[in-house]
Amino acid sequence: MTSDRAGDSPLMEAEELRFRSHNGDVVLAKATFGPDEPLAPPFLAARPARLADGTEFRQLRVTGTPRKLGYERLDNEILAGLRLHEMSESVGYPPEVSRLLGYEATSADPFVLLEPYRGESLTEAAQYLLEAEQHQFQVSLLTGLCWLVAAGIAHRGIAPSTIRWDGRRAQITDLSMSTVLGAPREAIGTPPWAAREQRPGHATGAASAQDDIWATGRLIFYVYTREELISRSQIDEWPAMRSLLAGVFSPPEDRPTARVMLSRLNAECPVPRALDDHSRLDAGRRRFYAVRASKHPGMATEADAGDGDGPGGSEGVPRESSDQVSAQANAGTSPTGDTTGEPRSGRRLLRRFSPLSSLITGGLAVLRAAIVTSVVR
Amino acid sequence: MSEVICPICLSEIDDWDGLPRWRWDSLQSNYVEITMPVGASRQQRARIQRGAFVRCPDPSHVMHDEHYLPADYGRFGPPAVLGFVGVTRSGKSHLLTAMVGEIERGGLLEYGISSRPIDHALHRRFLDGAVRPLLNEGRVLPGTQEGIVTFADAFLVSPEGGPDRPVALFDVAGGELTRVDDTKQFLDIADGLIFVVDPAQLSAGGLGDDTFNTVLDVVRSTGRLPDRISAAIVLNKADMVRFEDPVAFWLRSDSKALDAAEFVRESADVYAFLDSMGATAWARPYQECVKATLHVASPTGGAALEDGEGGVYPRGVMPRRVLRPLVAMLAMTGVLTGAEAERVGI
Repeated sequence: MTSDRAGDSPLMEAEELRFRSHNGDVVLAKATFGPDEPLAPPFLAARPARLADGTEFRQLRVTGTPRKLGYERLDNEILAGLRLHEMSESVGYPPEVSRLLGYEATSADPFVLLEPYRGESLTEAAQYLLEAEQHQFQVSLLTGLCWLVAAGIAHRGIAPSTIRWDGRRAQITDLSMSTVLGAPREAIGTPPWAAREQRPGHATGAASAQDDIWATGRLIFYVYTREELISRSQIDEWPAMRSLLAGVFSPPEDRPTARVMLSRLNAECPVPRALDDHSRLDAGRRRFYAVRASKHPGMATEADAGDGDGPGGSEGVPRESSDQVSAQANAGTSPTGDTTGEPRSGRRLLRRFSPLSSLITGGLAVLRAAIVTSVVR
Repeated sequence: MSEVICPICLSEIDDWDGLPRWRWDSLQSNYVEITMPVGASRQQRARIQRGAFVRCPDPSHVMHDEHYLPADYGRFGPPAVLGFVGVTRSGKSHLLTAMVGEIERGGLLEYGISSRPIDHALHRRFLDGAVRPLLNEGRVLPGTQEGIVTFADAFLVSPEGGPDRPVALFDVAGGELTRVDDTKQFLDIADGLIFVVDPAQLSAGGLGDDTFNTVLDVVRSTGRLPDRISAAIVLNKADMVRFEDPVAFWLRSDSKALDAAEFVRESADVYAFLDSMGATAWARPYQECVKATLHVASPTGGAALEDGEGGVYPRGVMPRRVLRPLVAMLAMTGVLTGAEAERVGI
């Protein structure tokens, strides 16, 4: 295996770095850097480095012109890293996703400091991953996806080059193409891994937690079979893939969630439900709607308004709800046996329209059976 | 046609079209009255009157000097008078400048709204003095000059399928907004106020922005609260908090639709953000005005190397969401018409 460690490369002269740690502290430290790595995310340069106290990290900087895209990509990395830290504060940082150590986001030469990635990318590792390791690879990859969803992040760049394997766990890296769930979709990602809704001419609507499921499913198939997925019929030739990937290449709203896919592997998503369901802004939103109702008697209360689409409830909040309903329909069974499994807005809708929801759920199952999703690339 | 009120002296002008027309003579550095040739054709009259001014009659001699307004200011009925409120360094001028820059770029057209400057010379001066230095050269603008009594720029706004309506944009120096004096007469006739919040000045348990409170008190004293003036509260310089919820989402979501429900969701989020900082005092205009919205906006997209004149934006200037507060305000003040526009701010 290769390593990103600065110790493997000749180090350049020490530079003083001023940056913010993930919890906002301003840090001044001397660092030495290795040479730029040959492979780096688009619009960025990457190099290994070491602080004077021995801490090793990987630095991402903007490269090339125009620099606007590089700035945006670094911002994506920072936003996702901060959200993952905030989301996991009470439960411990998940090893299945890369970890932000610090950042400088205001100057003309901003940078991001990341904990060195583990293992090696699937570009190489996929060639030798053992059959006995497949289950653990799939579980840890989907677990990483669960954490991203809990942080309200769509990765949008899942591909062999961005997923790593260290023999024990997958690690989702390179969050430079990520965005917040609910943000407008863009044409982004790496063909053929990017989902249809991320391709030029098809990028409409809002980024959802299910957008990454396509690429994840494709990657799982590739690592398991070492075949490029060209036709849906290939999936049917592999019984393990047929059940795990059911619905994965459907339209985004009909795809299973990472949580549901984990249940198909008899594994559980480690993200506590409370993290899925909570936003520190909820109390403020309730107060807003109370003021609004006092000015305009008869207007929607918070409970109603909170069901709306968009960030008035979607910021940082994974919108698994309706997808979970459809995912269960896809799988034909309840993934966890948890009848209250669907978070916030889905629960509200189901409470209001419970007889209708049964019909919808049943109807979706029938529809799913009828949907032919032969296009997988 | 309804009477027009002079925003400088507050005189009521009930025969706008009957007032003599004037033009600026650069050689004399003064206004000279336009004499229409006898028998001039309609086209000739239109050409001669292009860029003309009217002299406010100011019958009570409120102002010491004569003052002039663009002839188009009152030609289409009472203009919508909009003002920017916020402390010094809150970024009012940068927000206004980025808005005008977006209008110049054609940004309002994306909402189906046409517009043209009412006073081309004034507009050109604003473009040269503010918009280009900020947007093209990435330079920090100087603070708003004190003692300016008229609008910074004005547009004739033509919504799709709706009547034309003049819209005047007033920017007043932050220091002046904390005093009650003659330099902000427009506040007495303003239809809408854009309250500019600087994230750097939010403080838990704070009393809010002095300028907000002073201006709201002025507006209250004229009997226009709660329903004769609208408010748009803008979390300005949002790039400073671009990694925080819900700002991250909104900065990435710049839809070009007049969608009242989306304005409500954004308002709820910004209110909740202020609430989470213990800074609901900055949301006072929302509580006091029947029609009000809250917004996220970033006039520059990033921070300057040095604050104040002479500073530059090292990453260039990329305004985000700067037109949405204006579009909401156009809807709340009746410039935009139709069922959806009427729902904005409620």
